[in-house]
Amino acid sequence: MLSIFLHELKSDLRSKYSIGGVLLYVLSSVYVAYLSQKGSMEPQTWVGVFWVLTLFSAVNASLKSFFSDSRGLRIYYFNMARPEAFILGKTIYNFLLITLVSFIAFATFSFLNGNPILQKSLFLLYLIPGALGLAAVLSLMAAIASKSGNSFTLLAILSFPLFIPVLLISLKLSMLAMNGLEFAAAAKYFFSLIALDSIAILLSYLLFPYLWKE
Amino acid sequence: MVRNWWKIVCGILLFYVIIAGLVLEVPARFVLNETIRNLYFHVPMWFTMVALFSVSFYGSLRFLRSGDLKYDRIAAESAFVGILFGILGLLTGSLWAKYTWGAFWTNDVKLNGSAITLLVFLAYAVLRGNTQEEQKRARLAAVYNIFAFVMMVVLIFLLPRMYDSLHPGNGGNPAFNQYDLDGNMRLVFYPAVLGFILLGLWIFTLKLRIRKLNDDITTH
Repeated sequence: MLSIFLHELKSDLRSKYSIGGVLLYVLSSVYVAYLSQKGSMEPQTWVGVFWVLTLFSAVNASLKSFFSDSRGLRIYYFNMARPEAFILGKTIYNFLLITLVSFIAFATFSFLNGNPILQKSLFLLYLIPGALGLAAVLSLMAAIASKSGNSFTLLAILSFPLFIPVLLISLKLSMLAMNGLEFAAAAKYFFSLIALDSIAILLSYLLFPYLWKE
Repeated sequence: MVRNWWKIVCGILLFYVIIAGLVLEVPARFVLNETIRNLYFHVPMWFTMVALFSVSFYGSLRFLRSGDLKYDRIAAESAFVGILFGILGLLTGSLWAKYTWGAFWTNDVKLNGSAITLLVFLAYAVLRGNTQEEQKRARLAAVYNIFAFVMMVVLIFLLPRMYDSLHPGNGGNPAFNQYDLDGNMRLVFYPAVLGFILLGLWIFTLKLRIRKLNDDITTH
């Protein structure tokens, strides 16, 4: 599990294009959002647009984690790793990647559009379980889509409806942080989001071995 | 004839429901008025959809356990018939909403939940159409189905706790099991639920047989 995680990390650091591409994707979409609103966003719109951007960047970022593996590498993993370790490694890697993407989106978004969030550190804290949920759904869906052969469209079709539970709770949390509420007011949602993440991870842990056999 | 008794029951029930549902007296409620009759047709659609999706979930589980394509057929066909009932549920619901809420679609928890569920199962259909090889298609579809079904159950339990809703049965609005469903309405509503679920299962078994025949033709 650790070795798969490390491999992903190393191969990404080695080819600067992939991670640079993701970052550029975030930057340019944030800029487009900024231009469309001319810098005068209502706080509610701010949070909404922020999450839409994060969502699309997350899909884009995790896309490569299944589609870029060469055939040889897949066969190597198939012989060397347990499927459970494989999916967990991918999920952890995607989780860190999406967390990074969402933090960068937050930074650039605040830079361009101003920052209406009253509880900034709580807002960032709430991003983490949100990213975990997105990563868990995306990893399994990317595995399905890559087996089915028809890549990006299928991944979007499969995963978007399944994002919605995670997204709804995340949006709720972000709104609470925006309005400056303390953690105690949001704890209920925070922990139900973590519970949702655990369910998604558990399911992909249980189901992925069935996808494993080619 | 003896084996198919439930089809006769289904026919009689639906015949009764359609006539009684449109003719029998209903309590006159403020705003709702005669649209309350929609209860007989709208709500059973969702019950039938959930029943069929549960059959589909069961089929997917059995397929992953056994690898027998028989169960894959069950999962696929029940999901397709379930989608049909889901669309009917949306149509009857939005027609009703037009007359009581003033709009075909409102941003409401229950409406969004049902739309998401339909999207998930349409994605399931796309996934099936996208994969050529039989065993692989069955496996991918089963994995997706199980994952999606569990997430949807979580969603349905979670959402109403988070948001208020206009929909009957939420946010202090009376549900059909409270005072506005009097004895007369129960006499039509319960047969309606049973009748439409039987109808859904009937369509499902027919489609299952057609598919099995098709598969047999192509393999021999």
